[in-house]
Amino acid sequence: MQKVAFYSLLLLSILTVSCLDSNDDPKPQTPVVEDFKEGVFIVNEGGFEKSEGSLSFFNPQTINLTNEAYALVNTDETVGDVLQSVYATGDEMFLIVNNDNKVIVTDDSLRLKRTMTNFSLPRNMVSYEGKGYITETVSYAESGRVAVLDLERGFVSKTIAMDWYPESLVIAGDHLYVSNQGSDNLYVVSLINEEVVDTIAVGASPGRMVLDDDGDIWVACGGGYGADYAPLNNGALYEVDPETNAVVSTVDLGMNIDAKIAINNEGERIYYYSGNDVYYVSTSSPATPSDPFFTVTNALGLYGIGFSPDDLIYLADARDFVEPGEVFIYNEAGVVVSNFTVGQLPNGFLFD
Amino acid sequence: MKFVCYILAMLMSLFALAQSSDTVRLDEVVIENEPFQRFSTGAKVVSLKPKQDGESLSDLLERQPSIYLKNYGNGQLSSIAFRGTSAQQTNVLWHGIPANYPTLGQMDFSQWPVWMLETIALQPGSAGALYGSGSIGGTVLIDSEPVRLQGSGLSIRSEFGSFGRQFYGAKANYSYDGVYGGTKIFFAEIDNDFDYKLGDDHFTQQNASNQNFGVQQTAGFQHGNHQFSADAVFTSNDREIQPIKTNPDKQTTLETTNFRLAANHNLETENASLTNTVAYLLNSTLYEDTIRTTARQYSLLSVYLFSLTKKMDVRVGGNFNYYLASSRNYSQTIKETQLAIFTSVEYSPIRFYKASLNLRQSFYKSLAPFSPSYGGEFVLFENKNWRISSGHQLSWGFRYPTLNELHWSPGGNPDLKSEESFSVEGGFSARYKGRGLKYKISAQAYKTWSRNWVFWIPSGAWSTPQNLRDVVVKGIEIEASLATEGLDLNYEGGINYTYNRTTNKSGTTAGNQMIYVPLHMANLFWEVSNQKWMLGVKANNTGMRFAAMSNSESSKLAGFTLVGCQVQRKFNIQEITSEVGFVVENLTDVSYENIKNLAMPGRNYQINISIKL
Repeated sequence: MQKVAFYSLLLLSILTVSCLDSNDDPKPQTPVVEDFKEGVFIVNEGGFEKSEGSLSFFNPQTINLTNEAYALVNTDETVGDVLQSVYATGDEMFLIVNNDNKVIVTDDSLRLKRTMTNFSLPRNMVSYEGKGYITETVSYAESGRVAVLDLERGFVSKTIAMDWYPESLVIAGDHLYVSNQGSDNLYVVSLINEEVVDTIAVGASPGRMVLDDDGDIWVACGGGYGADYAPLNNGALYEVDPETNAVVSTVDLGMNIDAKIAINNEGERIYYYSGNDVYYVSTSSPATPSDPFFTVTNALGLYGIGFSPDDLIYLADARDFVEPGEVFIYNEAGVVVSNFTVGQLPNGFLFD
Repeated sequence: MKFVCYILAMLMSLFALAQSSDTVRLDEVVIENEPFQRFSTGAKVVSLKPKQDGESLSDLLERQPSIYLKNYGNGQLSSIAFRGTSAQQTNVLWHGIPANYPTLGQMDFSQWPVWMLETIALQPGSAGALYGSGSIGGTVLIDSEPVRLQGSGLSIRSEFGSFGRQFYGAKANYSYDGVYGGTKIFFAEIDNDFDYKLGDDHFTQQNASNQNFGVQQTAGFQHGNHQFSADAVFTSNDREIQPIKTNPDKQTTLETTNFRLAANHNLETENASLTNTVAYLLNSTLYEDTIRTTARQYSLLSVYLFSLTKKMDVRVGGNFNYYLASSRNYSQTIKETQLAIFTSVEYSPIRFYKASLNLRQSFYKSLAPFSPSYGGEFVLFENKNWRISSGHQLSWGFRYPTLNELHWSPGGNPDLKSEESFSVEGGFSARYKGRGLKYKISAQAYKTWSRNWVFWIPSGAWSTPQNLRDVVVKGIEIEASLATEGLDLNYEGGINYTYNRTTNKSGTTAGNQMIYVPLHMANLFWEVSNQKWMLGVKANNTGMRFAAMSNSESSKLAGFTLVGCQVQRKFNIQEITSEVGFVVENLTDVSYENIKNLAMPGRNYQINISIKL
């Protein structure tokens, strides 16, 4: 009972503060514990070795922002060091804590169920028919792997060797595509026998992958660097046909980008950013954009992008490692809708 | 409750009485004129002398109200931040030569044991900018006065403590017919396998061991009124970088080698002195046995000091520093030249007022702040027993970007500007010296307006530094100390309190306290001694600090109070003096953090033995 009262008070104070901060008219107080439905989780990575990873939750209907959502639900629990990404499947959420080499499993209201350890620098996750697939860097001096997770029984059943720095994953048909950031290629894994069946060469530093309206895979290639880290300005988007595993088109972006992209709900506009400039490429008529679509002038350092079910572009500004991050929301006309302050180093979004 | 404690502490301090901490007990050292500590009229300068040979630098410094020691773990990187500023805004001078590691722009004091230095002085505030970059917060002066060793002697010392700590040191002084020399050597190591708590679980720290070795040779001779001296120091440190609590198995190694050589010529005449110093400093680190970073520094310093009239002293001088640095983290060998000229005037127009004006112009690419300072002191009252004075100072300070900030590859920003500051400070001090009783009370208040603080921001695949923040610091320091005697015992005690409000003025967190700046700090110590015994207790309180600029609940690091005590016993057997001591640190076994997520040891013990011939 005391705990409920404590939570309610805590939440009430947070709600009050968040309402005070908001430019919108304060809504009638609804002092119920947020159920974290119909909104967006903001993944706050937190500074390296500072163990300040956290989750924020924003409900666009109620305009309520809950920072430190995980700590709020699980008293005295912290997420840990470098919250790389969050994945949801069924009624479970997976918090991938990179530098603590662990994955926290919660229910869909963020209540801690269990913590899985013994990962080696885990990065991102997808799932398919009762199995989870998590990329692991393993170490910066060796090639990585994908851990295969039995979601039913909750343990790693096997690992699949990858090339250097496996990063993102996407499932197309009955194949898993993994971008190997350090090897400039994609590995194609058969989900039937969980073996690598193909390798697709792409551009330099491939990262995030999305599926377009035709079911083609688009991979963001961040671009390479010369001997003295001078950017080679060869960032690119590669389109891969999962039927043939062939690269069907390439868009050279003429600059290095952060290899994080988001695609709109129609699957025909891919958004990316470089510095504080946001661009998009149309999947139906791919061409290098000449000018930014818009610039997030108040951002210090964009570090993540997402596209919401209600057609808004979410951008995460990581600020300067010591100041809390800022989220900027734009509509598809490139007009800013709102912004709010989240946890340290926001790097991405999970839309519920 | 804490506030009440502070008020109580302050009230107590008004009744407590004092002796400044510039006690000189090492008798084999003679200090001559002080070309670097003069001309700081109106500002506070604290000269410290190790009371025992083995006293650690942190013991020596933790009593000082102006500074906050930033320890990245036990025996790990340990830097000093003055008056609510950052560690990089502390200038460190060795024989007057800038000695901060040029790559990091700071000094690791954990690698500089008291065993390897003769004098250390602290000059809080930016008037030290006269001697170079980095003096926004304050200046640490190590062995800055010409030191002449006299007589001959040999001391050896060992320490054994918790967590596998061992220290072995030997030093010898010798002199003959105006020629003198000194040799020192030490070796120290610690396993650092202390226990700590994380949540409800107990762990043993791993991967945090540390080894230090050092050797120093000084030599000099006097010829008429010319004095020539040389000082060469080699230190090596082999360390496992203490991992964070939540990732305890991580092992990272860092080897650091320092070599410092200074040759000094000093000419004294009746009304003037000329000091010329040439120096070579090498700092080399090897990270994870793979990344070698080496910085070499060649320095020249010349200072001429003379009395223009009876009431006016003048100093003119210049320094030149040339840096060569190479690393896999730099795309090419870095070459930097810094040049500065300075002049100072100290004038005492009337008996009760003394003022000094310092002017400095630096030449360094286009980043060349002009950094003057002015200070004055009124003696309000003075007689045989009392001296009551009030000082004031205005000063401009700056910090050049470090080599890493400018040239780190990837991300370094060669277009960074210097951080700059303007400070005002004022204070008073009252001193009483009577038969068997000495006390001192002093208070300082200061405010610093600074701009262009450098912060790293994420930029694509890495991060890059920018001149991002303006910061205002305001603070006070209150100190009281007392030395008295009775019942055949000597008593010595002190108390101090510091308040630092360091306000960010930029970005979304404008108005918030900067990270790792405690709002409140307080120290208390009390020692009782006679010819044979010394018993000391101390308590150091560090207030709550924020680890993030959000100043959120979760970014708070709880304040803590560390209590320590020690007993020393002296034995004199003919010509041999020996001393045995027992020290307890963190007596109340407090679990605390200096830096978020880095464990610190609980209660620990040390036995020390020294022998002096």
